[in-house]
Amino acid sequence: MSDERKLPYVMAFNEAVSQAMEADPSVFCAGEDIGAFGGVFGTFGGLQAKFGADRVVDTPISEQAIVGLGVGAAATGLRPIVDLMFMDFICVAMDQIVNQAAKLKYMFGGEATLPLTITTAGGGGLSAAAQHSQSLEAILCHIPGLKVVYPSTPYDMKGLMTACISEDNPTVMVKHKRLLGMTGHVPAERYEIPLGKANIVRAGKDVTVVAYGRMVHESVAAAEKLAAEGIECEVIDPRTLQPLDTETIVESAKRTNRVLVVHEAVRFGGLGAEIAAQIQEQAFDYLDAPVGRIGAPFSPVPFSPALEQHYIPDAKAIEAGIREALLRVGA
Amino acid sequence: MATEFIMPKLGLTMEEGTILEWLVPSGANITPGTAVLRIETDKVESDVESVGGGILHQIADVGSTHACGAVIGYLLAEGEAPPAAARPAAPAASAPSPAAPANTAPSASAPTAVARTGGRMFVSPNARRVAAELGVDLNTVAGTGPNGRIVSEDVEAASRRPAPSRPTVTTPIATGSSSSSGVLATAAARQLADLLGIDLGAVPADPSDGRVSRDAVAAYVRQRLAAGASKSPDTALAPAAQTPTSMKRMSGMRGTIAKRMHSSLQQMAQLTLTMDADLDPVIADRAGREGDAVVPGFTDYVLAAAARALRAHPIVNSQVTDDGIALLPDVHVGLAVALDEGLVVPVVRNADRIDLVTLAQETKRLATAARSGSLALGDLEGGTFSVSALGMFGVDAFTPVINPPNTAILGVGRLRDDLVLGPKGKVSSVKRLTLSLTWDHRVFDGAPAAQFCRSIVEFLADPASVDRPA
Repeated sequence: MSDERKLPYVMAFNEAVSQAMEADPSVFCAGEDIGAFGGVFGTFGGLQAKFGADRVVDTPISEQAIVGLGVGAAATGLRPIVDLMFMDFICVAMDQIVNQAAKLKYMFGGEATLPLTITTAGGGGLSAAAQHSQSLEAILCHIPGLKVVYPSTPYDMKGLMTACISEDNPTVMVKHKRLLGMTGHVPAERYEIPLGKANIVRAGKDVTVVAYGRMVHESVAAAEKLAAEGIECEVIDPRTLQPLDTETIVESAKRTNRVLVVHEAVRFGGLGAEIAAQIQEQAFDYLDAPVGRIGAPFSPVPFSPALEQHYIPDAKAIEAGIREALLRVGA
Repeated sequence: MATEFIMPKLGLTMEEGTILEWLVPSGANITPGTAVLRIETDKVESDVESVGGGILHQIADVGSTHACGAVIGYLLAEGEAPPAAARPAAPAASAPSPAAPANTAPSASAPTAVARTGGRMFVSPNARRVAAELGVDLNTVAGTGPNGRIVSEDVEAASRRPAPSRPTVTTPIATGSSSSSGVLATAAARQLADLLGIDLGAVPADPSDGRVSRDAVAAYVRQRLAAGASKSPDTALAPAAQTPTSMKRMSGMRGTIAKRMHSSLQQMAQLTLTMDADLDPVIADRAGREGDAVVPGFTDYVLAAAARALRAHPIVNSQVTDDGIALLPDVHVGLAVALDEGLVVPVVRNADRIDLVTLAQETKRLATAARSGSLALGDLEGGTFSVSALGMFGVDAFTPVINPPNTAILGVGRLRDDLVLGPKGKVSSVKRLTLSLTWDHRVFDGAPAAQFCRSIVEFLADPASVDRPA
């Protein structure tokens, strides 16, 4: 389809926000430098010009206040999108996110709705150093009351961001910094991808690779290389990390009997641990090998480009992990 | 062509089996699924049913023991004669002959390698499931995974191999554990079941996920043990013949006594001799003590006499150990004291070295403490011999049971008047009691036993000889 409409990941996000604001006057955005500047990554570019400074608000540098603003606005009937420039800064706003946003509906006996979307940029690969490169999604997934979304393509970005804004519970939308410029097919009309539904990116019968964010593309690259040897990898992108589509993952594990989980976050206590645990609980009798995990070493993200390249898992590391899961030394 | 009927392997740990009963006679025509015989392993009894059909020809006798895979019979066609060498090769019988490894069984299809480390076969969970579905015996599969782990591809490859001429026509039913592989179970449950030779199929699955858990295997084993471990017909306990008025648990002191006395009789070669002792000198000695603060009882005299006799006959003051018969230097004599709920045997330490009054004080203290439940652990330990008196109930002779790890025990009977025919037909009366000595024939024989008992009788004839501190 040569006439297929293509957009970069960042513009897919922008279009989802723009269309939501057009459709619903209660939707507004707030964050550091998102108004006049359009966001450091251009994610909110042009929105203030289009919707005005009342609906695209530049805030002081105070993450706690930004999320607090969103919590209050959501609780009182608006549908806010609040932006934290880097995922690392979530730590500054943890009280508002964990103790307020995630708890209010529960503590008000279900009477409160919190249609709050927190957007942020995660992941490394830009040599942005240890305080601007982290992958902290596992911490968020551990909090009951939060939904966590991590799109890997422009198409998924628009559909999932639209779903996040429509969602009546707090969501955290993580954009991967290295995917912002990635282009792909994005329909012009509004559409939603349901939260909690994984995508089988690539079908295969020999081994299942579960990956999200940028790691989806590294995994597909590894799978394509192995396909030349006749190894057929199934690549699953959960897209929503909380709630996790365990059903699709377990179903795949039962077919392929071998699973590798890949993420950019450090291995220890990462989402891979949870996914591996779920698989062994639900598909123990279908495993031919232990569930493998590929993640970053237990270390802060290095600033040095050479070290960072070594630190972040890539197609080569994933290929090695797949080969280990398939290893049959005696065959 | 005759089909071999072999001793099945019902569990990973089963090496051999004993034929308890042929359920079908030789010459009978059997159909697949017929329960043909009942076997016993070191763990369980199990019925074995035939997979194939034909005329059964038995070649192994009831009571004989055979290695797994050994031919114990044939299935013949109509009019077919059994094969010439139709006797089992060297049945293992009761002799502890090493059981043939299962792989040498005629049914084995010569696996090239089997993933085992320390007896554990490494099989991926999926391979186990696939093997159960395809009916592949994992013992015949070579593992190609890391550490030789069998993976599902290995099982699939094995299932595609041309089926070996499979003489294995036996499958176990009832408690056979080959059905284990088809059961959903946790790895820990499988490991425990393999270790204990338990059929997972017989263990109830966890209702929440349909899998057998390790706890369930443990509970099943405990239940079987409680139900009388070996369920062989002659040892199984019959249910109460009538509705009991009450049920007394065999636990606590009762349980300890039951266990110790039963194992005492099982482990030792016990027998009892009886010998009379004249007590007139003892009675005279007691009369001389009339008015004293402490007058020793008749049992005290016997205990003191026995303690001196033990010193004179060291073989009786002994204990059987792994290294042999240990002669013990100190003489500590236990005294059986009956209580409402059972009995205890407190110990008079160095009974051969104390005078009668000291001994009488000590036995009185021990008996009182025993009845009030205030015996110290030290009062109960270290006995090398024991004395048990039933004379107060009118008993003359009985067969006391040795208190392990002792090698002998002395029973004391009733003090009675006996008529004695003296020289020239002169009849007189004498105070007597009967001593019953039970000893372990493994340790010493009848003559030394009699000499030891004689020695007690002689000490009793001279009470002064047992009243000296050694």
